[in-house]
Amino acid sequence: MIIELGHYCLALVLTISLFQFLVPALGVRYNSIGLMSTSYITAYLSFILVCFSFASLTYAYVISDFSVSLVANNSHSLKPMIYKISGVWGNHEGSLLLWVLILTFYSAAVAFLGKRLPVKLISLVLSCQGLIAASFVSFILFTSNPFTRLFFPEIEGEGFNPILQDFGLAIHPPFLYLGYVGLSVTFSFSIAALLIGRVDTIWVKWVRPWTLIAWVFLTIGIALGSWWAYRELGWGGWWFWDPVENASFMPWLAATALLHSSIVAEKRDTLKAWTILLAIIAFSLSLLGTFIVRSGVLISVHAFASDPSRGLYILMLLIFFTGGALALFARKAASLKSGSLFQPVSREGALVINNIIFASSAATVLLGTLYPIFIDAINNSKVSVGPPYFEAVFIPLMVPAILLCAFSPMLSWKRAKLENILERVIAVFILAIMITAIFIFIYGGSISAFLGLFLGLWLILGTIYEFFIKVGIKLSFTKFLLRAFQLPRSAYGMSLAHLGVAIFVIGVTVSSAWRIDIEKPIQNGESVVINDIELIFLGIIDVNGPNWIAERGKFEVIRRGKNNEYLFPERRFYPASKVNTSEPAIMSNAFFDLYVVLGENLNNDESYSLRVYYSPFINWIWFGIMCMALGGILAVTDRKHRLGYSVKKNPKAIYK
Amino acid sequence: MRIIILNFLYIFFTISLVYAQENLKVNNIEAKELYEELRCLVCQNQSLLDSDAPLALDLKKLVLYKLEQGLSKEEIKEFLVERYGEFILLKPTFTIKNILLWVAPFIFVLFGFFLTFLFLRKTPVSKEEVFTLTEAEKEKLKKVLNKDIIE
Repeated sequence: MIIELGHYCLALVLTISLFQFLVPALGVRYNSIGLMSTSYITAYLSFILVCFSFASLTYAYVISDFSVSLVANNSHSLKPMIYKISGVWGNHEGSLLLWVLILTFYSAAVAFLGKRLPVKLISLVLSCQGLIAASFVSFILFTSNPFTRLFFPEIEGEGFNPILQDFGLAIHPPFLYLGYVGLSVTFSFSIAALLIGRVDTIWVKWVRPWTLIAWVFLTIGIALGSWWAYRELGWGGWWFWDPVENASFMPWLAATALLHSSIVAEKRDTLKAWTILLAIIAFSLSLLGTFIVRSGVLISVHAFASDPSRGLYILMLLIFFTGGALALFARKAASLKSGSLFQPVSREGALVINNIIFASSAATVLLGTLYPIFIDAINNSKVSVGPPYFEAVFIPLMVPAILLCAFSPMLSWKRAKLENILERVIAVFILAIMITAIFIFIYGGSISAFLGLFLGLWLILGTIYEFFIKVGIKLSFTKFLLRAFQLPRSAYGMSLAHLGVAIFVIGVTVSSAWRIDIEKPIQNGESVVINDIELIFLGIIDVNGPNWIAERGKFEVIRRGKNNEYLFPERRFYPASKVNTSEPAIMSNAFFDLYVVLGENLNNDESYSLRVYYSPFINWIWFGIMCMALGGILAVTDRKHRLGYSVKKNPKAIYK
Repeated sequence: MRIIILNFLYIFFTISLVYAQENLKVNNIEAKELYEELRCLVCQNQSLLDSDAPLALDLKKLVLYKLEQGLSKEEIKEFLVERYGEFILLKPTFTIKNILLWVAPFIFVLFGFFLTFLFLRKTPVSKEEVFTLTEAEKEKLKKVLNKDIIE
């Protein structure tokens, strides 16, 4: 019964979303405040109904109701509770319902926080959100209904992919979707601005925090995904340039560009048309990502159950929203007046270069990801575009971005003197080169290791230096602290995010340049030595888990002659899905990870195949990404970005 | 007699298997580089290095064998492409066919700079418009300044 109610609510949401799309738009057309104001109510109502619908599906998972086809196909009564719940979005239908839940959540949040915004603007925004919601709800109802019942209920579920039973992955989709769908808000704001035909301060002030929020969630979501891939896939890698990973990376690159261009739009009242275009592109790329993941047009390690007809529907949505938005942009963009002017050498100029680089990177990832499809369509031959390609083109693109990032915050707006800047950063440059050279002299390393380390240090030192300059040099200590305390949070946010990039770069460089791989058969009592670490194999025990059985190896780690830790890598077998998985054991600290994977029993004697990866500084990768996300959070909580702040008392008057 | 031969063959086979396993250690930098650039054809999307599939293990053995024979990386790649097609290469060849793929990133950047150039040229450059004085104004300024100094 609850399932049917949930199903019914979703059908109601379709009607309400269509209402939310049509009525406020008519209200704007005929200048009726009454019609426009319905948008608030419909936004709240859709959110509540989708909440109920989602809760009913979750309920079916929790009580393992195997008369629901989705639950029977994807769940199992023996699964731990947390994975039963995360199983709701661990499949195509449920994940789309989560998508819609988050979309209506954002619409409701815009309606709630936007009470003081001009009603015309907010109605158009919510109308656009309504159209997006209607298309996705109809997609769910007509092609991928999660509430379908089975005529003959199953006694036991079929379980789901055991490799997905991981805490990081359980919370990865919600974060990723909060990011993807968050970009729909900036998209709708852009459409509204184009329809109204003006981009003013209120618009920019509103778009920036939403971009930041979406960007922060997207960043965290991607980090969780790569963290999962690192711990679960068992190869010690953390990014595979897989189509599904690229699908989340493209919107991130576009959102990063948007984040920076919206600063220029906010502070200098220029690049507004470009900012709107980026907002459209960013959301289009997240729709494209949904298409790539859901249609199965590309070969991916993240093999989701996919269906071409569903892919076609999403492709049509993508063409409709992207094409429509771009057509609208082409018609109206010329009427958006650009504000103040700037010289090529200026803060604006630097941010423009940032935008060129990030937009080009997004385009490159897009090209590389779709290239195999093009080639297949053109001359029916198969090519692969894999990690070696992306690394070869992506690194040269990013190097100038990082070089620029260290000193562009020191440039003044409008026009800057290059000589002044060079004078300032030359010391930072020399210091970074010297430290890198000393490090490479001691530890050895290739040219790429030198370059990576130098870039990381250059960015760290540059960011710290910029922070000191911003607070004011030649101040007494107490005065310095006082002034540092008074800096706005967005200033801290920027510095922290840029430091995060530097930490990330160092993590990537060191972990790949000084990684040690060992692959060999091992017998009871034998050991492996890596640097100052000795890993001793102490045998195998059989273990029974809730829904798996495993061979668990015991390894003792001895570092500098002392026992540090025991590691227990496992080889699990899941009877429900008849799948073998490897659970790597990782000894992790700030400076290295020791990653141990237990392989198969060889030739039925006591020897097992063993893989060990020693990855120095690898945790700096995720620590750096978390610093970036934290920087974004600091910036979004800045006083000037608080939603509704600094809007005049009677904003309705503005558009009349 | 037959049984003895079969047994002998069996033992020989197992020993060679064990020997091959020993050799699978990724200790050869060239081999590792090749593994990273070759696709495991039966996997979803993994390189040879990241795969346990039987075909991947066989291909790894083949690569090692060819390296031991003294073939270069390029020769081994050519050998594999002849048999499996370009699909096996994770890094597309740098040929005229794939030229779009390789030059596009740089075209994107150049195009970006070109657009910026147009944008900056279209809008009058502030330096000349706002900050430069005409000759007459300069004269006037000189007068005013001189006056100040004299007074």
